[in-house]
Parts: sequence; structure tokens; C-alpha cells
Amino acid sequence: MSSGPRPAEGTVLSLLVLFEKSGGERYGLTLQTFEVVLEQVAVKYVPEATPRQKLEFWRDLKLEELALARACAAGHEAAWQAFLTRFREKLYDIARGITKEDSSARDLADSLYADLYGTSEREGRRVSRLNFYMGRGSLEGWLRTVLAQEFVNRYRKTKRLVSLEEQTEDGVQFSAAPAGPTSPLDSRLGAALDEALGQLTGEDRLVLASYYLDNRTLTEIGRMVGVHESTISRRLEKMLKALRKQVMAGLVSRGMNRGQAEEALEADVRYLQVDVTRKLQENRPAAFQQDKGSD
Amino acid sequence: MPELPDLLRQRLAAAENDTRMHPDADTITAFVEQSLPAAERQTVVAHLSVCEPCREVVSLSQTSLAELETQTVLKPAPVSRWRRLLTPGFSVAAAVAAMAVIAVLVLQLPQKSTPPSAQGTQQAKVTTPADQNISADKKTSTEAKTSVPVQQPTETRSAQSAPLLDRDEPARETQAKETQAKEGQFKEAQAHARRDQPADVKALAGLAASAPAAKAPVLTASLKKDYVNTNFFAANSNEFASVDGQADKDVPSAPQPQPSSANSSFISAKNKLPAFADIPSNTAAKPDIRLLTPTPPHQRFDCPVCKIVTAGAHSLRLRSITPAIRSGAVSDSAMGAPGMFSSALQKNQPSEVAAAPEKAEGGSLASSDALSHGALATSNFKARESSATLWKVAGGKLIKSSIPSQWEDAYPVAGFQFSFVNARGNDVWAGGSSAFLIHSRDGGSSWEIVKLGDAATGTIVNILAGALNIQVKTSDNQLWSSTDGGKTWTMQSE
Repeated sequence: MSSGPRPAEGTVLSLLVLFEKSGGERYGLTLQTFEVVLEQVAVKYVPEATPRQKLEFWRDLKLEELALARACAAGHEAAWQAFLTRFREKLYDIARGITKEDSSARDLADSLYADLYGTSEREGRRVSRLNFYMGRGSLEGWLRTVLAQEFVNRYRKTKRLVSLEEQTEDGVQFSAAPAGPTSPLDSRLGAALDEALGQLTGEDRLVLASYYLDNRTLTEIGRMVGVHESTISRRLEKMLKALRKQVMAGLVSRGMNRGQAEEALEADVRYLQVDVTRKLQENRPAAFQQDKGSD
Repeated sequence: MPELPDLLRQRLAAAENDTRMHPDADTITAFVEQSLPAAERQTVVAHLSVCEPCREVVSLSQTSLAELETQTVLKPAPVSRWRRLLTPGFSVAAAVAAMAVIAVLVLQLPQKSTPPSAQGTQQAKVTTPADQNISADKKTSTEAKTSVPVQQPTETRSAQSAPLLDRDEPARETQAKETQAKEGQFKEAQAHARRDQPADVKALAGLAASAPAAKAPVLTASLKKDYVNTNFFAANSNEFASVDGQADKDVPSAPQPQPSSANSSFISAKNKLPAFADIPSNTAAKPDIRLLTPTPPHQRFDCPVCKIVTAGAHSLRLRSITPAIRSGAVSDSAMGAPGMFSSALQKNQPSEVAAAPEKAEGGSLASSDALSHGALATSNFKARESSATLWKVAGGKLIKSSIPSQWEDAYPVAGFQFSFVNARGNDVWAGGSSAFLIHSRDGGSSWEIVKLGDAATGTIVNILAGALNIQVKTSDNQLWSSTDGGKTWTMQSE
């Protein structure tokens, strides 16, 4: 069952310590089962780690909640009792916080609860979504994230299924005609913008995209990045000034004089924002090997 | 805003074309909880910067997290630093400290109520017939105690009308005459009481001679500006209340009370009724001198805490006059803790002792009645009844009395200064200076000199003797003990 190499002899004792720390025994897990779970986690996140590195990685996991989730997935009654006691009401509270509405929150939570229990079967065994919990974050946070993913998926599906009548009711027909592909007035402007955006850090790009593309508040962005909102505000100001300088420098380097460069920059701010999206889409990372759908 | 449709279109287009790999829920959770390693966090941030759905998921997760945190904040706020001090232990400590402060106040404030000598002198001049006043006060109080049911309505009425009487001279004179008429009876009763008083009570009576000084602030309370504090103590005091009320009526030379004194009179009068109502009917049999003794604090303060504190203080005071031979004193020292003397026994051991009845069986201090509870008291009583031999040390001589009121020298050898004797039937131990110790087994007919040891020094100040266990203490704090009837001695450190 184990997909990874067995831990070295020196780590057996440590595994026993981790197993005791997880309290999996009271949920019906065995040391062998728990070892398999840990190996799965290590293979997924630190596949090339040494046994010592694996041990360090395992120690940082939420072992107790990992054991609880996997025991629930295995169908242990005591584990389910503990899970329901701890998370049943929280699940509805989280869903209510996401959907901002009771009925949809209950629907969302019930749907997830069914997935957690495992309504589908594979090879005669129930497949619980709790099997995908790896213990990197708290189980409550994982449930929150899964609910948010489920909510976003539903939102996007329903958006795709919006009828033309609903779009008409929403006033889409009265909106201005979609603009064509945004093209800078001068190709040199686009090249200069792409060059300036390419020099931004990932966090700066995240702040820029969240603010200009997602229209998120400074508070939301600050919470996402982990800094105060005033810091985000100052960073945005600095970032725009720096971008302007770099674009100006790029335009000047591409043969424009300063007056032409300023005229090109003042043409429309939206060019900058559109280019952010386009440029950032080109710099997609390939770090995540697993699709969300397989989660 | 013209750029908004473009941005919305661009975002929806990007989402529709999004088929890339996303971070799994565990990774996003760790990112939201900021528990990801730095390198992996940068990767997630890079992904989020180009993936609107993942930003949405992160945002939703954080929103619900923030709401949950807000719900947590709605719980009771953390206890402040000062409130943390209000732990049970701190409360107990504070209560103990408060009781200590109250005890100090209770014990010290009565002394403060005593006026300075100069003030006392001045008041003595003002109230020249002070003795009459005090006597009148005593008498009034005595009458109040002897005839409580009868006097209670009268006292109540007079006390309640005290402010009016202060302004009513005829009524005051009438009251004074009645009081003076009863003064002779009171003095006679007082003299009779003094004859029967023991020495310490007489000493208290002597103190009563200086009572005007102590009573002065109470007597003139209504005349002084600082009477409020004095009346505070008089408010709940039976004696002071009666003195206060009577003083207004019985002191002819006293000036008219100030209008402001009406309040104080009212206060004392108001407290008279419950005060006198509490006096038991048998208080008439108590000696009159009780009225002159300082009122115990617990009687002045009627609160339960004050009573507890003053009761504790009173017990501490009384400890010094606890009977030397208390229940179990000797047997505890001899049996419970060998070699330990009762300090009370050392100081208050009577020099005259009666021979305790000797038990047939010996060797056990525990089985000796002489060392049992209340041994000396009971043995003394039995000895008097059976005309047993009495032993005493007088003038450095050891004397005994086989016939009542006839004493004879029990050890007619010159050169010895006896200081202590212990008799138990015919077994008599006597000691004196230079650790001199003698022993008689036949009631003093023959004596043997017992040598404690070469290191024995000082005068023997105490002897505890059983059949076999004997303990001797000297003035040099040496404690010698023997467990074989005095044949061998060992010195123990006390």
C-alpha cells in the first residue's frame, strides 16, 4: 500500500513518537497505517527529501488532525464522533461566512459533508474526501478552503449557465460594446510595460492584480499577503511610481523623447492594468503538479 | 468608468482559459495560515498573482477566518492585570490584611480616646465634683443593670429626650437631685464591693480613681468640637452611653451643650435602647467595678469581624494569665515531649505543694495521677481533705506541714538554699542553689543527696518527678533527666 520507500531504521522510533503524538490509536489507526499516510504526504510534498528531512517535515504536520481525518476516511466510528463533535457546527458557520446566506450555506456544507463521508465508491470502498487532507494546515482551515473552492466552482458553473434573459435583466445588453483587444497606441509602450511588469516580484504582482483586477480592498489584500493595509497602500503608490519610471525609461530607450513618453503613458491607465493581466498570464508557474479537480 | 468592463472581460476570459495546475487545499490552507516555508510561499504567491480563482478561494478562506476570529473576539475579553490580582489567594491575603488593620485600629483607638494629661487636668478643674459625677454615673449604670425592666423605659425616654433636657434646666436639676439622693447608697455598695474584691480587682479599682481622666472625653463629649470620634466609640457602648446621657443631666457646673451637640446626644440616646435591652437580668450580681474597667473592644464595636478580632486579641492577652497547671500541662511535658517543661509551669509553679497520693505501681509517668490532667489541682484538693503532708520552700528553707498551720523545718542542715520542692506521697524531691538536690523516700524522715553531674550548675528551678522518670531544670537552662529513679542522670539540651 505504501507508495514510498520505508523509513530508515533510525526513524522507526521517531515514527512511533509521531504516532503517539497524533493519538491515532484512540481512533483505531495502527502504526503501519499511520506510517503509510506519512509516506503519502512526504511523497507528495517532499519527494526528494532525505529521511531526516522527511522527519522534520512530518513533525510540522498537524498530526492529530491528520490521524483524525484519515481515521474518519477509514470509517472508524470513534473518529467520526470526534469529527462531528468538533467540526459539524463549524462547517455550517464557515459556509455561512462564505456564502453570506443561510440556505446556500447549508446546501454547501451538506454537499461537502457528503463528500467527506464518501458517497462514491471505488473498488467497493467508500472514497472520502478526507483522504486528501495532508495535515499541512489545520483541518478546520482545510475544510474552509475546500468549502471556498466548492463555492467558487459553483459560482463559476452558475455563471456559465446564466441565460440570455438573465443577462438581459442584468443589463448586459445595454452595456457598451466590448472593447477589442487592447492595444497600446504605440507598440513600444507595450514592450516597455511588459518589461517593467516582468521586473515585479510575485507579491507585488499579486498586490497589483488583486487591487486592479479583482477590485479587492486594501484590507483584503493586506490579509492575503500578511501585512497591514497601510503597507499595501504605500506599496501600491511606490509600485506605480516605479512602473512609471521604468516604462518612461523603456520608452526613452526605445527612441521616444520624454514628451512623447509622457503622452503615451497618460493615454489611459487601463492599458497598464490590462497588460498586467496579460503579462502575468504569461508568467504562470509550473510548481503545482496536481489539479484542483483531482483533489 | 470606462475601464471597468474591460477589466471584467479580461478577468472572465482569463478564468475561462484557466486550465493550469492549482495549489491543493492543503497548500492554500497553509498559505492562509502562514505556515508555508518561504520558498513554497513564493511559489504560491506567484501563482495567485496570475490565478483569479485561487485568489478568490484565498480571499473567501480569509474572510470566513476573519469572521471566525471576530466571533472569537466577541467572547469575554481577557482579564485585565488588576482583575487577575483578584484571585482567591489574593482575596484571602487582602482579608487577612484588612483584619490586621482592623485589629490595630481596635486596639489603638481606645488609647487615643484617652485625653492628654493637660486636657484631663483642665477638665478636672471644670468638673470639680468629678467624683460625684463618676459616682453618679456608676450608680446610674448600676441601677440600670439591677433594674433593667423598670429602668429601660425611663432610660429610653430620658435618652430620647436628651436634647430637650439639655435646654431644660429645671428638669436637669430635678434629675440631679434624684441622682444625688441615691449617691449614698451607691457609695456604700461600692465600699462593700471593694472589700470583697481580689487584689487585681482592687488594682483596677485603683485605676478607677483616675477614671475621670478617662471618662472626661466621654463626659464632655457634647461640649467638645471633636466629640464625633468619641461618640463613635460611645455609640455602641452600654456604659459610655449611660455615662454620656447621665453627664448631661448630673453635672451642674457643666456648660450648656452647644446646639451642635444635639446630634451627639441623639446618637447616644438612640443607642441606649438596644444597649440596655441587651443587658442580661443577672448583671446585678456582678461587681460594680466592672463599670470602671475599660470596655472590651468587642463590646464597643458590634460588628462580627470586630468581635472575632478582639476575641483573638483578648485570648492573646489572657494567655499570659493562663493557669500554670492547665489540663495536660505536666503530662504533656513529661510524656509527650520528654525534657520539655511547660513555660507556664516554670513561672507559676507554686512553692507550696501537697504530696500527691502515691500509686502502688510505679515506673510509668503516664499511669501516675500526679501527672495526669489537672493533677496538681486535684491532688492539692485531695491532700487538703486527707490532711496529707504539705511541702513548701520559704526563705530558702525546706519546710513541711503534717498538721495544719504548723510548719517545721524538713531539712535542718544549714548552708543550703532551697528553691523548689516536689512531693509525691512520701517521695519528695527538693532542690536549691548550686544544683543541690535531695531526695526522700519516706516523707522527709531521711534524705539522700543526689548528685546530678559534674556539669550541673545553677539553682534548681523545677523538678518533675515520677516513680522512675525525674527531670530537673536549673537556672542555667540545664535540663537533667533520669529514668531510673535518680540513680543516673543525663543532661539534655533544652
